[in-house]
Amino acid sequence: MSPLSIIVAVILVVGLFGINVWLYRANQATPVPEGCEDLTPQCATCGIVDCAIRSKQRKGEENGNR
Amino acid sequence: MNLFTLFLSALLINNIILAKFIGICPFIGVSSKVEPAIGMGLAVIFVIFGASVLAWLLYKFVLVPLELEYMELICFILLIAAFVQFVEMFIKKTSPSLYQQLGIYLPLITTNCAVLYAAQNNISEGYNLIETMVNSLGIAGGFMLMLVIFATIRERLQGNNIPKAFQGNPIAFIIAAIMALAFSSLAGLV
Repeated sequence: MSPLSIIVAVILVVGLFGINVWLYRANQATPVPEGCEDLTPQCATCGIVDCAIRSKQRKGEENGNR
Repeated sequence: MNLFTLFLSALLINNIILAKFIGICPFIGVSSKVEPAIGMGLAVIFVIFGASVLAWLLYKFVLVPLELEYMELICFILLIAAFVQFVEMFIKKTSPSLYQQLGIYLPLITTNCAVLYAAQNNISEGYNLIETMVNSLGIAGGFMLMLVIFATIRERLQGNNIPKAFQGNPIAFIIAAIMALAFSSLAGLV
C-alpha cells in the first residue's frame, strides 16, 4: 500500500466526517416545526439504553417525579 | 434474475427480519402499536432507498477508482449518518406534517443495521444502479411489511390473557419465530 493511497483514504474519511459534523450542526440549528416539539416515540420495549430520544424521555420522567 | 424476481426475493423470501435476522431492535421496539410501526416503516423505506443509492454511487465512482474498496464499511457508516441528518433537516424545513409522522424515528434509523446491510448487500452482490434501487425497495418494503404485520398481531394480543412469564418481549419473540417459520415456506417460490 503506497503512502499516497493512505493519505487519500485519510482525506476521504476526514471529509465524510466533516460533512457529517456540518450536517449535524445544521440540523440542530434548524427549528423544529410548530406542534412537533413534544413528539414521543412510543417505543417502550426498545433495549437501546443510550438512545437520545429515550434518554430525553427518561430525564423528563425523572423531573416529573421530583 | 429479473427485477420483479429480485424485488420479490428481497421482500418475502430473503426477508431482512425473518430470514436474515437484521433490524430486530426496531422490529421489537416499535411494534407495540400499528401507527408508530407505519411511521417507522415509511422512514426506513425512505432512508434505505436513499442511503443505498448514495452508497452505490460512492463505491463505484470514488472507492473503486481510488482503489479504496477496503474503506467501504467506515465510509458507508459515515454516509448513512450524514444522509439521515440531511433528511431530518430537509423534512423539518419543507414538510412539518411529514416531520410529525416520521421525524421522531429518523434518529433511531441512524443506528439501524438494516440500512448498512442493504448498502453492503448491493455491493457484494454486484448489482447495477437499477438493481440496487429495486433490491433496496424490496428490503425496506419487507421490513415495513413485517413490522406492520407484527404490530397488528401484538395490538390484538393486548386484550388477551397471557401468562405473566410470557408477557412483553417473550411472547413477541415467540410470535416472531412462528412468523419466520411461516415465511420460510416461501423459500422455493423463486
